[in-house]
Amino acid sequence: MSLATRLALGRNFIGWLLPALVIAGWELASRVGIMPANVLPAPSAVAEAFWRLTLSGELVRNIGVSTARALAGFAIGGSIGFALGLANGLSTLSRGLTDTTLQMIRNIPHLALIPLVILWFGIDEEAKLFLVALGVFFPIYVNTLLGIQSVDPQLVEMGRVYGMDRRALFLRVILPGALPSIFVGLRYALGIMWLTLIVAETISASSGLGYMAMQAREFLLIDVVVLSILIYALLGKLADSLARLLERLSLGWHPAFQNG
Amino acid sequence: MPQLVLDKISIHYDGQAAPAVERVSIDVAKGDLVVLVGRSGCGKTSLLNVAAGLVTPARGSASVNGQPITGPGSDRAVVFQNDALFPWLTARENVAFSLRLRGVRPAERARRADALLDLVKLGGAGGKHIWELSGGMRQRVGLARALAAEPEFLLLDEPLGALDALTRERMQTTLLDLWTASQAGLLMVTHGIEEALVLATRIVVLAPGPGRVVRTFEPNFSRRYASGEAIRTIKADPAFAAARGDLTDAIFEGEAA
Ligand SMILES: Nc1ncnc2c1ncn2[C@@H]1O[C@H](COP(=O)(O)OP(=O)(O)OP(=O)(O)O)[C@@H](O)[C@H]1O
Ligand SMILES: [Mg+2]
Repeated sequence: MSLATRLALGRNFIGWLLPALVIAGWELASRVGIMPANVLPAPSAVAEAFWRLTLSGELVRNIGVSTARALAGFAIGGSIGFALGLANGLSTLSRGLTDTTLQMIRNIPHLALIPLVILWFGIDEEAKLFLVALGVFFPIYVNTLLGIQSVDPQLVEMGRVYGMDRRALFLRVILPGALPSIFVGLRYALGIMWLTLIVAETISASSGLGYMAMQAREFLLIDVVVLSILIYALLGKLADSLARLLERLSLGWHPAFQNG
Repeated sequence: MPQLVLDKISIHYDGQAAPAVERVSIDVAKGDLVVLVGRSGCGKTSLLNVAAGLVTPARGSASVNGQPITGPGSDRAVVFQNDALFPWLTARENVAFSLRLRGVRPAERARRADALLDLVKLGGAGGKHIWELSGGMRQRVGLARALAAEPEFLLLDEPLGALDALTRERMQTTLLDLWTASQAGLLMVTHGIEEALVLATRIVVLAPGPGRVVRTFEPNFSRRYASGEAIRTIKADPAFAAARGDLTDAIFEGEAA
């Protein structure tokens, strides 16, 4: 094992030390009765709930439903945001036409639209997709636009000196230059994606993790409520890790992504 | 004889009341090293951009080898005032950039890029990221990148501006060596009076408001270096000191008035 991998393992281990201690302390507190089970169930109870729901298939189904919703909403909002960000970054006409309007809409917190969205779509899938897409749209749009606008004009000029056509200029100069900012938007949007979905599912849904948590609350199944929250945390972390990996792969040149 | 000709060029930027440059003529033949000097804002960069095909003059004509300049072309390469290297590429990939656009094979590309990096005394730095390089190293990568395109004319905007005095002096001779070897025509901007004298076969002195030519000099110091004389002896020559006085006077002429 090389020194570097050993160090990396060591760092990872250190990162998990605190959560492990917290869980051990929490279990202990529940066992000796300092922590009443109706406030916070013991970790072992949550693990039991996890096992129970996994066996019944309920957990996997709800995670699947929520993930599918999150990704669909993200794909819709993200691609529209990306396309508009590109268009407005590359064309002054397009920017002149749409940017003011978009900046105005951006100032409305998208979760404030929930009552309206329920009136429009009821509690159907569209409502959740709409909210997630809307939430994801702005970080992607704003950061794509910002990324393109912040590409050094001299680099674009340099591209022209080399006789690049518009397509090559875009692919070889503008896009790589805008990518760091686009990734900032992507990671921010992933956070918004889960947040929006949780809120939307707790308010109106008949499936999904948020629905599972709300059902559990009705039946006072606090272990399931805590389990749902933990799973949200894990899914959020997973999405962020994937984005980081992607970022690392495509921004390998960037000083922020050098090891050591 | 290949020639880059700027003929009675006037440059007028949009929204500007007065022209930036008025009726400036400069021609650069293959093997010439023409240096533009003058106070800040006298239009040096603007004129270089006209030659590069990035700025269209309001009046006058610009041509290269008899063809009017309508845009950038592979017969000319540019080194900008700041290095304008692509930060997402390594030093080697930056140098190889024009070769890649021309479809040169990767192995051949890397070989030629490394040879050019050697030439600017950066052999071994090919795999480095741009942000790992000092300002002076970046300018040399920029120079190597411009040379890679094997242009007939090289347009350089203060290519040694970011260097410390010592490296700068060394790079001046490197530049002269490159020029002698390639026999390209060079059009270069500098703020260094001594640098202009060491490098130029012709010095064009510009004055601002609007940018115009006030004097030209034809020093022979770079030819003397090219024919083997040491740079030290050239600079120690009383003729060098005299030329420096004349050039300084010409640049600051009219400023006091
Ligand atoms: N893109 C532009 N738009 C409007 N005005 C410009 C533009 N570029 C240059 N100018 C103006 O034209 C004049 C000449 O500028 P230029 O950059 O050519 O000067 P310079 O001699 O290169 O100066 P420096 O030595 O500071 O680099 C200046 O007055 C400047 O303000
Ligand atoms: Mg300039």
